[in-house]
Amino acid sequence: MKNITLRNPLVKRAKAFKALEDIELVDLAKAGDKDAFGELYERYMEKIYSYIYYRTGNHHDAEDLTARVFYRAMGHIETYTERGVPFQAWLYRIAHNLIANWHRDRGRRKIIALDEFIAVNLKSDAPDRQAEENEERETLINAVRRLPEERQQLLTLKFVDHLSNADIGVIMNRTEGAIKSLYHRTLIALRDDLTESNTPSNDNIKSKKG
Amino acid sequence: MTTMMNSSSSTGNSGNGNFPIEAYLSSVTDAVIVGRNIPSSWAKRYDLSPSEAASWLALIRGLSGALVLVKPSKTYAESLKRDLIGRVDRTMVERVRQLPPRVQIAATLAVAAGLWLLARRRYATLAATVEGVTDENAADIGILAQ
Repeated sequence: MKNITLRNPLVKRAKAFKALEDIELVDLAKAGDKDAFGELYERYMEKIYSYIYYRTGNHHDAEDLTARVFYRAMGHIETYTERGVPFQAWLYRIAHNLIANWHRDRGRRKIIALDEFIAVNLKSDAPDRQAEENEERETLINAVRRLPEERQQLLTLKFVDHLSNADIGVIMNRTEGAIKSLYHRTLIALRDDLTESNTPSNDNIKSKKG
Repeated sequence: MTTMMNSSSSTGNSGNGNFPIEAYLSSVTDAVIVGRNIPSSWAKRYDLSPSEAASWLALIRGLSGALVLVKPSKTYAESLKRDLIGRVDRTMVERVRQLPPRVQIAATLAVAAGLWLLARRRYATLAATVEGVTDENAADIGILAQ
């Protein structure tokens, strides 16, 4: 393990932490080094936040649950042992359990505030094109939100957090092959949903049902 | 979105993730996520028609564009870190960036004015020194001439 002395200035120390592996930081954090945990926080906070945001659909709950994830991680870091589950996957598992409890407690699933996505992510020079893209994006996100929970989880981990199938497999407790297979089925379901929602007769049926 | 709707024959019936279409979708997704080009030879290798490959690609690109990282506010991130570990380490530049724009402009102007004053003072001192040296030289030359 690289030697990080307490005599170094704070910023230099923070820079030195950036060169360390997760497991080295975990060891330091276990020994009571809060700055090491701070570096782990810097590495994964945004990813965990984003993951929770897509699963809850609002910033308020995402902030609350993200804080709980890191408090829980810090409180239980002594019990963490790598054993094939990297620290990142451990954090996602904590997040997943908290989200599952959140859904159970509330018995509902909110729809993502699409306006926020559109305002932030689409800044095109051509207003017509922008409106079209907004509509496509909204349709797609709504279709994603209609998928079963584990498929939403898979898409979030893949597209938002850019994790590999192997890493997703560790988080979701499945083999890499099973993740590929689930991804394939998810895309088929999405495509079918989009085809269905684009059929006028189905829209009528849906609106009558609604 | 229209291209996404094109139905394909590959509905898949796999369970272990090793079927060609599954491998193709994973490879294409990885390439889209990192912004790599997708060679047309891939579709042939996986025995997909160009239209089918295009429909999958459109869906994957749509997902990649729609599902983006959502960042929390900086205030929240720093406040949580402070609560967790007790402090937030920031560089001087980061501290300045946190200030309101008006304060940033005022600070920049103050620093610029300070530098200008320092430079002026240094120039004045330098000019006085040069002038003094010149006068001394002139006096020396005068003494020698006498």
